[in-house]
Amino acid sequence: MDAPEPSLRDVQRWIGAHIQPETTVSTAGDVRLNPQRNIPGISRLSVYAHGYQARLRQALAEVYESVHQVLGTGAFSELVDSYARRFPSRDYNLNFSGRHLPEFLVNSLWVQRLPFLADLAQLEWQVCQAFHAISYPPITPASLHGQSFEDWHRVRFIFQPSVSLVRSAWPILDIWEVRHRPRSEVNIDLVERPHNVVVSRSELQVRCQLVNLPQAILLEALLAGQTLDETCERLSGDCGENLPPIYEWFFQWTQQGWIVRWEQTHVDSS
Amino acid sequence: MNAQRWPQLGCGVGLRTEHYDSIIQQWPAMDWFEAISENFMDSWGRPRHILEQVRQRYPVALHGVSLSIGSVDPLDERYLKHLKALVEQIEPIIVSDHLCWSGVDGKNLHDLLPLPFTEEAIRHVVSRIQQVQEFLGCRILLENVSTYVTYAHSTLPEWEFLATVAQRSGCGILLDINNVYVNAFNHQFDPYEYLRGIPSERVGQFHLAGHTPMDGYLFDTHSRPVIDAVWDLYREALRKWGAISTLIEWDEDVPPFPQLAEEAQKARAISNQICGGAQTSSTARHPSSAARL
Repeated sequence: MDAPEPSLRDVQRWIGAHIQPETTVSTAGDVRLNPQRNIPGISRLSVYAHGYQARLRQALAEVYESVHQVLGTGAFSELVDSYARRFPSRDYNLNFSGRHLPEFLVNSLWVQRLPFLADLAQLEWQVCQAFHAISYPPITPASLHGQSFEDWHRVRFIFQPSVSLVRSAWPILDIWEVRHRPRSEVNIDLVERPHNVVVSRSELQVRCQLVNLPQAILLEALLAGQTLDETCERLSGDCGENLPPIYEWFFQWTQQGWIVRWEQTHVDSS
Repeated sequence: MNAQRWPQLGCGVGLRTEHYDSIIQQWPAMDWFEAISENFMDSWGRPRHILEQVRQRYPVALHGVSLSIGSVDPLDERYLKHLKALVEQIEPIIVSDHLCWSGVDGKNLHDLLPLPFTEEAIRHVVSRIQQVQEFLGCRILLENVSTYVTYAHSTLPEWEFLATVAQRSGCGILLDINNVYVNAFNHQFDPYEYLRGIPSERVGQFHLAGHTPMDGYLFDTHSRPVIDAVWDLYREALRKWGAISTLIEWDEDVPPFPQLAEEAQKARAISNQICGGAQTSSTARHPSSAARL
């Protein structure tokens, strides 16, 4: 007796299992493919398996240019293949299929050899996010005037979605900036050169700039949604009596269009 | 839903990153552009800015690669919402995707995978097309995909499957002439018989592209000029259906814009020769947006 025809679900699971063998368990029965000229049909599935691998490698190489440059094409392909086994794409947009690469790298063997790699990947992901982010009308420096200091303490600032901070113990901005140079021409001192990089977008141009440690601490807390009051407490703990020029920083940030609005937090009347 | 003629836009090209600077600096003569929906629906940076500028000057079609209309997974609501928002902003002349599936069990394989040509697949796809058209508020075109395998349990030839899906769902057909040729070679059927099996009232657009001969099969690479045999098929399609919006696809080893425009001009000349009339490329056409439901 002939085997029953496979259902559409069976077919798709079976094909999926052949394209992503390491990540898919096929629960489907056998699906028969017609021979293609003199080749068994199943052999032709390699076209799709290779295509999947090639597309992921290309998509991630476009986002992670610097990681690609540091590793070289062969090692980068290995990285993408092992990443795809751990994080098979669940995003409809191929452009964003590498969103988990920084997280994947943190605990991988790759960072044992290149300890800056996860931070570098994080920087490149933030650059990608900034490139595509929506942009809102920013507040102006003038709009900060007239706010009393007491009010400021209860204020939570909302930043442009393109603004992010990447803190690293390594000079990741220097490494990123030479990503288009031949690997053999790159010579960067890695020792004791921590970088705090702010990623933002001005008009259509993504910018990466270094900030000092106090500014990074302040930004990190504000980006995480803390009020200025909470942030200043943390800053005074970290900076001691040398109070940093917070107002000057805010002026610079608003000049660069990073802040889109602020919200007053509720006062506990009890 | 009544079948209607689709807008005749002339001959256009795909809007590709490699040509952004060339296009916005020169605003070249071109009948229309086709943009890959996914490259713009999640971007509010330069890609969207370019698309908005192009749309102000040319007719634009949105062509998706991730609708996964044939998947057994539920339709992706987030995808559809983002697509609808893009459609509402750009007001494309045509919205299209592929008659295929791209993932299962939540995993995306990022490919245009073949469906079995069965009654089960027809019923499944027709129901989903109707949901998508209802949600977007416009009819869509679905493209025949190039394939490298066929299923032993298929009960219909590919062209009959495509025609039946279009007729039952009310969607249109984006007929990729190169894909017909590639599949005819790979699966050993007559490409002219394929054309004879497609109902004329359903065809809303043509795609033309180059492919690459591999070891024993043709690979749809979009990396070369259209070959003579595909131009011949295009001529036959024009003789059968008359002038229909035509697009040159070129996605790998992308040449400078003028070379791509030459391929579009070649298609235009063939269309003029067979269908009469003189299509001229323009930078200032604003036809109404996609066919409404």
